[in-house]
Amino acid sequence: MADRLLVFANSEVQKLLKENFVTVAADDWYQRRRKDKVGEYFAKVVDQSPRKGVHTKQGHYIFTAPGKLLGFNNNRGPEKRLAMMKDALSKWDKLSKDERLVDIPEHGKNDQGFYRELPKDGQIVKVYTRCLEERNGRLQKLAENKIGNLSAVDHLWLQHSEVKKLGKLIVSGGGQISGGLSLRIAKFHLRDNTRGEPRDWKKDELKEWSLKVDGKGKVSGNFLISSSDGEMGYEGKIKGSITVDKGRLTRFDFLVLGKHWGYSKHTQGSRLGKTPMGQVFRLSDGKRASDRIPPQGIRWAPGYWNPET
Amino acid sequence: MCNLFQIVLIGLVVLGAQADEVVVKEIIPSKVESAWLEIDWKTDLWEARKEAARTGKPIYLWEMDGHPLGCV
Repeated sequence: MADRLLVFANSEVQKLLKENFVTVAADDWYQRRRKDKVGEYFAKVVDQSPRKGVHTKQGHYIFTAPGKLLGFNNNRGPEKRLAMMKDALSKWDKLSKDERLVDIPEHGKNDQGFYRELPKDGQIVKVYTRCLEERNGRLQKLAENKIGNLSAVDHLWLQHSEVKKLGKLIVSGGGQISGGLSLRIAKFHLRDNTRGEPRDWKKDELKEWSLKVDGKGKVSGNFLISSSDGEMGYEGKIKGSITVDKGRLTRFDFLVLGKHWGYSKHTQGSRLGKTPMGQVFRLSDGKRASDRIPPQGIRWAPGYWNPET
Repeated sequence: MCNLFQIVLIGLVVLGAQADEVVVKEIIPSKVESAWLEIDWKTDLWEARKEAARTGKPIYLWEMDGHPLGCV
């Protein structure tokens, strides 16, 4: 989050990256574990960096297509990152043509244990989350210059069969949205991810949970989620609308408003007590690469698709 | 013809929808927050490798535990 705001929004950094590099972003949790050609290539690069032999491989790497490392940095701040990029470009300029270029074959089968992709005909909903505060009688965002105050993003994935089921429910006059989709939303997407990776909710932490759609596609819901010790929780209401046309979602708008409290291992630094939080769900066409990255909650894929388990 | 009650009801619904739109705008990322997305981030290292080989450029990889483009 800090990199987004402090480094990659910097105009000089942007110019240098756009003109001189092929830019790629990856989730280290998957990539460092992959036992396939992609994993082998990444490991080759990492083994030339200070991350060799270290559990995490997080950081910023610059390297060639054949796999020669030209720079590594894990500091925040545009100055150090710019220096790293300029140093790497200077090394790049000294390389021979053979050191820069190589024929890249297809990488073969992905390691399915650590690779996730949207199911055939599946659809993507972007989920934005932000901590709010009440000022002048209405809910407003907090100052944007602090990391935990920014809007966080995740993605909800739906299977084609689930969309068709939603369409049938609306046509039949509406009712409770049940089954995997409903629980998936509650367990994996009603979370405070504004300061890092939150843990998933457990099914028995859903003290109250209702999500309905009527015959016109109008959505309403309410929830109370709380850890067993009551130290972390989220309660609120959902409203929105869903439209399904010929088995495809054409609209999936949710507005979730509630109060969140507490934190989990990687989301420390929350505000004290129950404080306002808002979430917006919006259908995505998935055209941008950043729209197609997997949901945070899908690391254990069977649990994401079948959240009853 | 609408009676007064219906007019008031319609007015409340419109006001409610407008209030929702205001809070939606508070929640979704602002232009400043989204500036980092002006960079053409790829999400597939192998595709990036192929493009680097084709265009003659080095690769810049942003690696984080939790996807940098979507974890938080």
